[in-house]
Amino acid sequence: MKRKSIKISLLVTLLLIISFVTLAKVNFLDYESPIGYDRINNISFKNFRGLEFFQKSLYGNKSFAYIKTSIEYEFEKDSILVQSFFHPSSSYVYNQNAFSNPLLKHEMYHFKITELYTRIAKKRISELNKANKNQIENIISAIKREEQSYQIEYDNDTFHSYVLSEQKKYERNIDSLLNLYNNFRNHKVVINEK
Amino acid sequence: MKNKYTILFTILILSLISCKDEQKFPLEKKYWDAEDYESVIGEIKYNSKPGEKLPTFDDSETNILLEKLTDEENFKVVLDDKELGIKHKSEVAQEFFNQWRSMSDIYKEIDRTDKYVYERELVEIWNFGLELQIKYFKLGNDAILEKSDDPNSESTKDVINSNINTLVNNMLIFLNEINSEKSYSQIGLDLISSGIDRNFTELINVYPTFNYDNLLYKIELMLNKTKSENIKQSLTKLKELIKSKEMNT
Repeated sequence: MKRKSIKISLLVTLLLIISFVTLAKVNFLDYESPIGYDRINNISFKNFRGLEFFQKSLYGNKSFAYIKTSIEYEFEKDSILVQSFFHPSSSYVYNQNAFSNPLLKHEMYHFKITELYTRIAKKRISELNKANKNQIENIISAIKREEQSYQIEYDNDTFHSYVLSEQKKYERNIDSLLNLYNNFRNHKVVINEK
Repeated sequence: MKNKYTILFTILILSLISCKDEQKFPLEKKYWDAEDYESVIGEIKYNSKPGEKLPTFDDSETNILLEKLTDEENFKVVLDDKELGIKHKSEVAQEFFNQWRSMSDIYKEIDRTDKYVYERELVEIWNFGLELQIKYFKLGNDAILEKSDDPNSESTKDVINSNINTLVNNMLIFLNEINSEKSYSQIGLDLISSGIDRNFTELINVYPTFNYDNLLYKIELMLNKTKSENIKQSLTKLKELIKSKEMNT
């Protein structure tokens, strides 16, 4: 009887921990589906629906936010769809009613970086002479690594937007690069199979 | 009974997960702001036990703290940022200045032979403060000029000159350390010498047309008094720099 109750206790605890950890990653209690880059201008802090249980401040600053973005792809018959997404329920802001344009702008440039690397990936895929699935997946994996490293560099150099001159420098640079890769805005890339 | 176990176990697990080792000092933070200074200075000043060694540059465990504390990049990253507004920078400079005043007396302890116990720390904090003050007063003056109806009016010029005079007087206090040179070792005196080279040269270059008669008088007195060859050289160079600016105006 005692052993059974311990077993049940452990099971309940395990379930609670799993729910807790999942909730910390994706707030499924206030879920909003991922938003594509074409809707970036509609994003506000109201869309930052993630929960944060552990981190109470960022280097002592309680007014902080973080964004979750991703590069997603899907093979079609003779093409591939490559897209960048913002994940509302995994992105966190200290207060959804916060009125902080600099903070939102900093976070949005993280999303722009993801979009930039998505476009670079599409360019690289389009340049392949004889493409196969494996090669394309390798390109996307490499791009994801490059994107992550650029995101870290961006946060480090701007110190999470504290250094305004650096923030502006990145904004100009990212905007200009997005413009440079404007031809790769379209999600679809036709796979060259020569 | 069963529920009691579940709750207790859950609380235990959650406590373990959320248990985080909070660092005493924000050493991983790239730039410290005035709030960080306030908490670090408070920690050093009020939480050090009597007789306990304070953080120093020569202590491998605490040197990183001193390097952060005296790192001018902490204020330069804001005060030199051309994208930020003068008013905001001026306020930040004021906050840093308040913190510097608060930390400037931490390392003033002398031993039974009247020698400074923490001479390097003392002089480096001085250097931090001198560089900060040059920027702080410059921002204040820039703000006055920006708000003034006529930046060339005599009244505006008077306010600006009065501010520069206060800055020079504040910097003269550093030269008073030459009067206490017996409290320094050769290393400490060399640090004072390089502090003169760095900060006073900057002062003269920022305000080349200011009347430095008071400073020149102080230099003469200190030249007669100091026994340190390096300090003599620094003071002579400074005197020549002031004279060269006077020739050009």
